[in-house]
Amino acid sequence: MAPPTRPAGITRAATIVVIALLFSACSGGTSPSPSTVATIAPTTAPSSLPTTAPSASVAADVCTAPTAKAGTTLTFASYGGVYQKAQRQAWLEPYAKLTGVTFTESEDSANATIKAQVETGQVTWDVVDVGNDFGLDANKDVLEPLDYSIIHKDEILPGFAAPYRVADITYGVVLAYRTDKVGGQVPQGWADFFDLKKFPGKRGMYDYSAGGIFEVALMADGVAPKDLYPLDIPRAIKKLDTIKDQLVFWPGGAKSQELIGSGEVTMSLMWNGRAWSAKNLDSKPVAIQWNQQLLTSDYFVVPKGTPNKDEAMKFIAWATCAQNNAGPSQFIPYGPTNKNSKPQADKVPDLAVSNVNGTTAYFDDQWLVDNAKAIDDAYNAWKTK
Amino acid sequence: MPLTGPSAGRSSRRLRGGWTINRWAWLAFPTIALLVVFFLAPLVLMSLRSITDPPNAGLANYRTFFVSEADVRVLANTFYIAAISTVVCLVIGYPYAYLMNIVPPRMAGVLLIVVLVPFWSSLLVRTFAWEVILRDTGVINSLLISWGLISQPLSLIRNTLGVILGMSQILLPFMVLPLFAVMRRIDPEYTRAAANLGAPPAAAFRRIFVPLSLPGVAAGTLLVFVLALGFYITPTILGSPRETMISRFIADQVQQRLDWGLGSAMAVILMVVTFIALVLASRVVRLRDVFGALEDES
Amino acid sequence: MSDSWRSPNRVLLVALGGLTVFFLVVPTLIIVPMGFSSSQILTFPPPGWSLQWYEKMLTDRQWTTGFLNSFQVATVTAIVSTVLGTMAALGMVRGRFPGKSLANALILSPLIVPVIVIAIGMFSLYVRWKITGSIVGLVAAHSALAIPFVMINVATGLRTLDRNLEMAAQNLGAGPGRTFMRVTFPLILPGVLTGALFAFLTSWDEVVVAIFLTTAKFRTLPVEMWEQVRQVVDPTVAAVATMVLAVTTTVLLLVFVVRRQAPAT
Repeated sequence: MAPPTRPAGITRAATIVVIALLFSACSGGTSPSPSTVATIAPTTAPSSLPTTAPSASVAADVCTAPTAKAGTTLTFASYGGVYQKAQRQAWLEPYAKLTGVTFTESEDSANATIKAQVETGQVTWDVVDVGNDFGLDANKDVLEPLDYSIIHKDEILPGFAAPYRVADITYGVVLAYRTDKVGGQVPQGWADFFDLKKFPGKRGMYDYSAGGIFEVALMADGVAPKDLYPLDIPRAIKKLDTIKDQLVFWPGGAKSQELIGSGEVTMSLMWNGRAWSAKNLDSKPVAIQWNQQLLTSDYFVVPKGTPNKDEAMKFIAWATCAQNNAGPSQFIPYGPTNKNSKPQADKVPDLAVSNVNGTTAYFDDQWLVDNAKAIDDAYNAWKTK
Repeated sequence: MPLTGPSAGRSSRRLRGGWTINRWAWLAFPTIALLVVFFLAPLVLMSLRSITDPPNAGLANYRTFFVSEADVRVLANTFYIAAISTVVCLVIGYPYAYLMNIVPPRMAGVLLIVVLVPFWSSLLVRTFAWEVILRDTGVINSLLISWGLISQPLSLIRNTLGVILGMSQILLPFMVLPLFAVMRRIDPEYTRAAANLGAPPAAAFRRIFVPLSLPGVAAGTLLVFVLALGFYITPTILGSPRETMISRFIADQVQQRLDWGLGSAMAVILMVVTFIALVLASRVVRLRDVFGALEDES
Repeated sequence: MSDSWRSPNRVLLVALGGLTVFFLVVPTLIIVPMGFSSSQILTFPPPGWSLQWYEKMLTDRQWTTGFLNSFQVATVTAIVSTVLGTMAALGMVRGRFPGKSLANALILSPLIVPVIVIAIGMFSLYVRWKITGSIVGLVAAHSALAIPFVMINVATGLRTLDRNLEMAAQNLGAGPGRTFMRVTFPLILPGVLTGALFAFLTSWDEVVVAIFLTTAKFRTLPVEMWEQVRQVVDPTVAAVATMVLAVTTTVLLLVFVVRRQAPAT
């Protein structure tokens, strides 16, 4: 075994790829790649903007012909697995081709990491995909205000664009289950998730205090979606204790997909796209119960002090444009946040927004952000008992 | 002519206060410097941080730790898991070291290699292997189910059992090596004498060999316990949040909760506990034996 | 030695020994076939055989970068630790200076201090010095961890060295430098080489400190593996783990070879 010889071959291959990318970027790539355009329905967005929006020409440039400073490297942090792969294929790679920007990726997006980077003055992340519990004004000390002179705020669904964060996808926190391990019955909602008698087996759960664990416990205990907040944490904990021994905590989306795919858990709290992937990409007998889903979205933020702030803003503007925002829906059923974006047709039935009913619940982002520490303390104290 | 070494006499210098320093001494200084700057300074500063973060905290962080039921439970849990792992290592390691002691030298060499290769292999790789083996859908359960011995998977992971299994396998060399080093030095004449005086083999073993091997037991037990206290990777992968050990807790304080004051305080506590355990042990056994075992065999 | 008297329950003892060997060796070996699995997820036994994960490992930039970074860091650490560790051994064994036992304790202390404590201490300070996420910080940290191993190995060789040989050289007119280069150093070389190899391994496999001192831009292989194991995405990590084991085993074999060549000490 001679490790030193392998890197040589890889370096050669890598060099060729890099040169190819540079050439494609430099040869005046003024149009997005054919595949992207074909799957996203063309819209008339740029010319029908109200006057407060960026001027039509600027808008057209950013959305269709973005440019970037030569030699820019942007570090993109998200949640890994099939989700990040979809973002990579739909956004990072096309954008890199158009602008020549090189992307480095992190698959372990976390609010604490952003705070730590800003605090220590070593900001290495430029664009971060965060959950709904981050990016509001309480976090403004660690975030750059978004540049809405280039980002089309008015096209974003109402309520999904804030000074420091803009939504990039919509999705649902759902109950996923193994169709072959539920004894022929179909779990109807979170109450069944907590019913070990009717549905024996382990339960997968997101290892995160603000990821929905308390919300689903309360719903299982009979609390209506509109009454969830402020969270009655002691009540939720009491309910959680009834299944604590059967809980398998997953730290990230890929693990949740693996846990249910391998059958290690019978049911899991999951992000709908990962459950869909377990079924459609991994060919596992997994199904989603849409009742009582928590409909939410992820957001792009820019850590404060990043040296690539302007480039980061341009990328965010491009990714939230009508033409580009629905890109990931080619690969995973996550919905766009731009009103004028059309998600890929065959994914529409699997989108969280297509499965809203009277039982659908919503996070109270403001409450989660304002009470982040309290929730976290309670969660940690309970978890280690 | 008495041999005093090429460096004595001519190149020693007498400093004030009767200390001597010779030429060889200077060679050690760059190393000492690196360790002071890159190893000692971080530890000292971190210890200081435990009482200065938040400003003027004093002993507040320590108080916070001991007042919190959850935190103290983690510490107790750490001791518990470390203790059980140590006992398991002793129970498995003693017969193995004894076997190494009585087999022909070439066989002993093979047995030694079997202990040393895992010793030097990546801890992460080994823990990962255990994860694959112990999962509900892992090797053991798959085999047992396919052979029809069980119908539901056994819970071998995300509990204390899984953590102990993983940790014991990783810590076993640290028990076997000191044990073997001490056992090797036990003069077989003693047991032979006992046999000549009419003692049956079992009694000779129990009353002569075992007591003579106790320094090795003490050294191995101590080393394994101290190392087990500081384990991070293995309990995280093989355990559930209930098996959170103190190093994981420290890492969480620092990485996720960004509470450097509390994290540093807990780190200091862990360091102090480790140090106390070692000091206690140095009364029972010469630490040179422990490290001597490592240097002889590595 | 001890085969002239019967030990209790010899058969039981051998059986226990065999079980222990199994316990020590087999778990680690399980991941080797997993790396050749044709399945998309980690299952045992693998449903079929495939080289796809090795292919993925060699083409995925994250893994190749991680490998290169690890190799770089480990090599530089080996060099730095070997030089400093050998110097320290000479200084400790042959030197006399005030505070020597304290210095000895300091040099050996990385073996004793819990690694998480070392990791967060270093992180806290190195971040201020802006050497995290770089080869400098990692080499400094790993060298501190590896130097004790080098020192112990070289010191053993030094202590068992026959000083008469050096004395003879000096009596024949060789100065201290020449004596060292032509007599002492060749005699301690096995210990130095062994120390170097162990220093390489210490850095190559080190994960806890690396978790704290690496960033997205500069990651070592163990840290990449750690992320993957937490997520357990696909069997690529088994292929990587097998490769890591292969390197470790190769280095250990080299140690074995070096010790074989060593003059009887």
